[in-house]
Amino acid sequence: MKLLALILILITTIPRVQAHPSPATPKKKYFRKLSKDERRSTRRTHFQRYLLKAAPGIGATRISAFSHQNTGPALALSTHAGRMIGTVEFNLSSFLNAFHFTGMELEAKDTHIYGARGTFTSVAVGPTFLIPLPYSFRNLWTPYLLGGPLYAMETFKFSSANVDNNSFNKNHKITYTGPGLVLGFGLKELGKEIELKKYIEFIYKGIFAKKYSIVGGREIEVETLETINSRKHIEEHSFLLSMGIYFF
Amino acid sequence: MQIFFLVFLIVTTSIGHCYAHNSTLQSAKQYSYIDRDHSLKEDVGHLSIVFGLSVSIYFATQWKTIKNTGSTQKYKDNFGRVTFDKDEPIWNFLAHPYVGSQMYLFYRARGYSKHESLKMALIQSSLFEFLIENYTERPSIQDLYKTPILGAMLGYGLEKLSLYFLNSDNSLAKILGHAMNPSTLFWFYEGKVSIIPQITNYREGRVDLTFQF
Repeated sequence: MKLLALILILITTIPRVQAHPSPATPKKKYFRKLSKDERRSTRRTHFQRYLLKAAPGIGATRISAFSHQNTGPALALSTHAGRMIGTVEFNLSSFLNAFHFTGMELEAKDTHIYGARGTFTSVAVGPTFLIPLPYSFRNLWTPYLLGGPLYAMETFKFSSANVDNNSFNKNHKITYTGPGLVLGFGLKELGKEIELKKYIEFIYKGIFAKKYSIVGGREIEVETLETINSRKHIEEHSFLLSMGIYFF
Repeated sequence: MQIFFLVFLIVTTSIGHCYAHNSTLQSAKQYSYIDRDHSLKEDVGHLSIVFGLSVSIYFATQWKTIKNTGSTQKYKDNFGRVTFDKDEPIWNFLAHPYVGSQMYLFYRARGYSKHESLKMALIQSSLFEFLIENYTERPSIQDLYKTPILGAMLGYGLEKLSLYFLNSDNSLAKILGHAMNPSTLFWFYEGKVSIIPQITNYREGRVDLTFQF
């Protein structure tokens, strides 16, 4: 009798469960195109908004000087301040990266510097733009492209170096200035408020410097001793991965 | 039964009423930031104050450099031309951003929004670089960019941390909060709020906010 009751309960319950299946969940698309309404809404929300953002990063830097090339891991910091018009960002950006070089070869006036060790820092400033693409990744992130021209200063600070004559003091720094460019792509968080929104980007920074200065002094007072045009370009190619936030 | 229920009701409501009268809490001074609009006259006034202060500090600390390297001819030659300075990183990444952060916090204390404070700090440092420091050296790209921009980032962090410390009950934390954000100590700080919580009866509460201008 009990068994019959159990069977009855089971028989009556199963069809009921089948008759009311759980609402079908839409298939999750990891990467999808934003609809026209979504794009219009984002444009309206971010229309003419000021922004400030920064991202520390890591990567690799390669310096090509004369016939010599030096590659190493680099630490980076990028900062952007600007205005969002629609969804496009127009920023004044700064890119800083530093790395430790070994066995570097350089020239300073009529002195040949070789086997140099020390730190290389590159500070680049320029106007950049950021264009978001009309796609969303997991409904949370939107991809974007960024780029712009740069003007940079690169500093070689030596901890040890060999020189072929005594006219160059190893305690002096050599700074190169020249133009460059930045190109990159990334993902930024979607949302109405941009404060503390995260972003991740991969950038290439190329600097082609020719004009150099020999700088004396290591403490508070520094002095530019001489500014000369180099025979060849000093090229810097950096690939950097940065993760940062929008402050506002 | 009805009488018992009535007595129970009277007793419970009276206790609630008494509790409500006794629970008026003490007022607390809270530190915050209240954004408001500013007139052009106010903007010019604030810029003049900070500009005057920067010039005084510059003359007081850099008198020797001004005397030795400055000249009117140099001022003419340098005017409107920018360059990368070769200063040590401690100046470009620590000293200048710190000065910029205090400028940012001054404007925040005067009721400017975050981006307005950044804008004012940007104008401020440009005025200083192009009109004053020009006398001894060319305006520096790093100073023009890093003083307001890194300054605003540092200021943003200092603002959050100092408010956390200032609104705590710990007196040492309050001192630390004021040290990080000295603008909160002065009369011009507009964000001091008195919060007076009051519970008027059993089910209603009230909070009085008083802003000091």
